[in-house]
Amino acid sequence: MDGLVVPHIASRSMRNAAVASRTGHFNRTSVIGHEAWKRAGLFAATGCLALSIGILVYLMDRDASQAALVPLITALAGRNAFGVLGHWLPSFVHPFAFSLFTAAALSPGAAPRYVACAAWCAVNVGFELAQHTAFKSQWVLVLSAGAGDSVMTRPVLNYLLHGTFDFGDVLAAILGALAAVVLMQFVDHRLETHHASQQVH
Amino acid sequence: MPRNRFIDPTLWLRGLALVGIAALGLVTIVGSGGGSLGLPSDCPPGMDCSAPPPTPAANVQPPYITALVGTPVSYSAETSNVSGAITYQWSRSTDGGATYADIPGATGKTYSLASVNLADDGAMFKVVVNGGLSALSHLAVSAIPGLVFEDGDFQATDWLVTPFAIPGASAPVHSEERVATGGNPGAFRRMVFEIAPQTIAARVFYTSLVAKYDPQTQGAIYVIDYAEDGISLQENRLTSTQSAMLLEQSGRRYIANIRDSAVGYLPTQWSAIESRSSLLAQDFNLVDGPACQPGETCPDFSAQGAPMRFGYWRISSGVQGVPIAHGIDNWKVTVWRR
Repeated sequence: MDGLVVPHIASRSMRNAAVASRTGHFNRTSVIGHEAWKRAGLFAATGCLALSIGILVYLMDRDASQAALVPLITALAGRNAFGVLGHWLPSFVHPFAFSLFTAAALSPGAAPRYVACAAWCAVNVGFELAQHTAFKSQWVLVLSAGAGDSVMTRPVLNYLLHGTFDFGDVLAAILGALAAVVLMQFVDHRLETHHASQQVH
Repeated sequence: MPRNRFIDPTLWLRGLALVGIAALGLVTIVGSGGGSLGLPSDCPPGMDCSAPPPTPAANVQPPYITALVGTPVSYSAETSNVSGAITYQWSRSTDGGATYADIPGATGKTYSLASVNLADDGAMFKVVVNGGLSALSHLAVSAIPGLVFEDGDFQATDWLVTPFAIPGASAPVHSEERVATGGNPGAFRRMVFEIAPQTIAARVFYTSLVAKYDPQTQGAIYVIDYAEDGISLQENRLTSTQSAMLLEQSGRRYIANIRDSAVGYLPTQWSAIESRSSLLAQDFNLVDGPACQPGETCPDFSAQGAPMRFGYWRISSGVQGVPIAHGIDNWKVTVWRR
């Protein structure tokens, strides 16, 4: 059963792969370890691609002054390239990309990856809800009373004070996390099918 | 022999990667919103904390002066972040700043005119510091003593209070009280605002029921000097309050422009930071009432102008649900005619 072997940690797979490369012989475990690395690489690459799209939204469609981390690149600014999608795409991309990054760093078991998706979904929804007018004042007061107004807390205070709650962002964050789950299942299925076919041959 | 998971470098690398990803994820959420403007600031008033290292600067105090014929005026060059020996050269323009002529012997930190006359009206004085930095001051001269309206006592019956509501939003909650002590000196008016839902600031107009001026009977206005002592009674740095002179005429409300002075937020000590001199009609912005029609002068300082009333306005920004307290004392409007 492949599924029983897959959860072995990658380090063992790496050692096996190294041994195999020296001896010219790949055993069953090294193949599965190789797949784990392939899966991690695929997750990381997809996450990077998605995050790049999210950054492009900020560079091309949004006012740089509205985001502390986004530089103003005048050659790209003001293009409105993503249209109405640009309103919610970053909220979709963030949990999607970071769920994949986390999954790439986790050991190859499926369950922790889904927990990571749920966690990033919760974090994104939580931050969005914190911008709601019903909560933001309390959060700002609690944060400023507890941690003061400092270089560390100021960006968070700004995020709460100047950000606006949008239910569309909440929905996009949930969809982003779900999309990550679907992608992970798809990749697992493809790799298992591929591995099974290798075993048959 | 069982492997020790705690010394497995891959596990440590995974852990570090997860911590890094979590941190990056949180930073990108916070960094993607909130903007870089309107920061609650712990920067001292008048200092630009966002521009390291500090750049040398010069200004002339006061930047505007209105003086009566025969009285002296004095200017002082103020510098910041200028080290070493400082040289000054004062010059004067009589053509609205197009050209300047050096004033012989005027090479000190201060420059004074012993007695101004109508030929000095409209003059601009420039100081050049260390051969590079420069700053300006404007002089307005009148032959008629200014007409002064002032209040340092703030009886409630002398003032009309009008909260300003933006369309579609409710007006801010506000309260005013005369406080007998703690002013600058003596009594002062204490105001407390609460920001209304769906708004980010509370604005309230205060119109003096005593300070009235009718250009048709009292003459055309040349310039107006405005002075007030203001204070923020709020220790919370997440709130801020600004003040400006208010002028009402023909159902319209105008506030004095900040002009080329720095945006001034009331500090937590009594300050004249919101005072302005030599305000011309074009230094007032329409903020309430019907739009100005083509061919209409808004506001009208001429001898055909409608009667006007003076006052002040306050705008506070901050967090909903947090009362924003501030005070005013020594409110004074001086109307200058030619």
